[in-house]
Amino acid sequence: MAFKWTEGDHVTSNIVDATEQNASFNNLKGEMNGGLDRENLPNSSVSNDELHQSAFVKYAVAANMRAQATSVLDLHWGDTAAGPNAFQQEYIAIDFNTYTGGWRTNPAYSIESLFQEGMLHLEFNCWYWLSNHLANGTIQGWCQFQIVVNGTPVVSGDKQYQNVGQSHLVVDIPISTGQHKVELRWRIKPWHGRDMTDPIFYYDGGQLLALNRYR
Amino acid sequence: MSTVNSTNEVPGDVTNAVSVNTKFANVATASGAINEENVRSEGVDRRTLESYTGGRREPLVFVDYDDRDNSAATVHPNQTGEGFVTISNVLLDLTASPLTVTAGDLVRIHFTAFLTGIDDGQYATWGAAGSDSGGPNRSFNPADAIGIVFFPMWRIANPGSFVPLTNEADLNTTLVSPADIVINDSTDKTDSIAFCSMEGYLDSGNCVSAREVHGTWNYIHTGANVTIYEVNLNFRGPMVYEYNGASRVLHSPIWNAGRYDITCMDIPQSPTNRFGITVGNAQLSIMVMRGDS
Repeated sequence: MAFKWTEGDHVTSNIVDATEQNASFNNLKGEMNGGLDRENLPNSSVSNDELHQSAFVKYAVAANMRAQATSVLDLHWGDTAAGPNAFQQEYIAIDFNTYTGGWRTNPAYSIESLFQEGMLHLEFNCWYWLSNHLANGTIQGWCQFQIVVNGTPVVSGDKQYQNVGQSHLVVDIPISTGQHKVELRWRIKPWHGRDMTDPIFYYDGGQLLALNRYR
Repeated sequence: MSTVNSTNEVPGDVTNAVSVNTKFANVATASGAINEENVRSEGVDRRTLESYTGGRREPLVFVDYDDRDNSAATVHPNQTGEGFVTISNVLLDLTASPLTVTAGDLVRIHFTAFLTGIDDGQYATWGAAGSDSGGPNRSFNPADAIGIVFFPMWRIANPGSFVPLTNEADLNTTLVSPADIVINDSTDKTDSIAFCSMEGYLDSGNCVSAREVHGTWNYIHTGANVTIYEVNLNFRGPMVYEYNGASRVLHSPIWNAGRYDITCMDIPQSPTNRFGITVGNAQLSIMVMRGDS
């Protein structure tokens, strides 16, 4: 609403009873008590001094995201002099004993918040390690990341094939007022013949940013 | 203001000048400024906001960037992961007007870096030899977690040195291999790094990686104000992601020893023990936003 005040002069006997006067006055009072809007307020009347610091945006960060359900696992390397399995090294990673394919949501990190109608800017960034190859070239692994909002994918990265790398996902979506949940999920190439206990994949240093710009 | 209070006339009462005057005096003498209790939800829009030259940009507090093109590409010889290199020609210099970050501010640092390549032409993450010349003992050797770590640092004291970003790992530490940089979930995170693979193809004796990585750091500041004077971009490596029996680490190994020896993975194949690393284009930006609700 916007109440346009029109000045008028009372004349003798103009106020006939209390109810009528209350209604007239309370109409104005109600406008002052929470009904003012751009129809009442002059153009360019609100400067930085009047702006509340939370007037325009809401942001949330899920930081330090890393792969879940990991184990300490060994990789082995053969040596021409010392034979097979001459060297080994421990990694924290997942193996094919605990991953059988498909998208895996990271349950430990998500953003669930009351967002306002407007746009929701989402960013995800992390580094990963993928044991992507064997020396004989028989195996090629890949990994992929995706952001989901309320269970629906909104952006997917491409499959990545390098041994280490960076995933960077960005998307802007319209969002309604209400409670929404933003999550990360990932997948890798399903079992491709590697030893079931080989460390295959790990990611760390992940950050999920949700930036809600109001309408 | 915030709210105007008045007593209704009661039907049956005799309305008189005093009561009417009292009601209007309630409004006329209200001394509070108009605030959110007076303005309806979403009652203010762009037209109502005071205009600024260049347009309003809430909730941005500050944004700046710097970049360098490939003309600044540099070969950094003798790299082992023991030390770090500050990338030249890409620096956010705010010393003329330092940026103050207050509690609740969102700091967003973005960067990209282009790894042109390394001077080990036969480099492969599973070893240089491969199956053909590696023999049966090496043909199933797996890819290792080797890469170049790019990371920003900032200078928040004047005078002062560049230091790791808040609660990020100490990637500016100088090591003597074999040694580790510990990663943890509290004060030594790796949220701000970009881990770049060196995998590539052989060309003129070099391994051409031609790979760009994008790193970000999003941080909601808490505590006392921080003043940012400069932000730079660095790299170190090759580093290896590992577990050292107690922690996740970025490891600086002795190259051409252990599993990297010539009889196993043979990394690097040539030159021995160290790498020449070429970094091309790079860009670094900072954005500070205020106004979380």
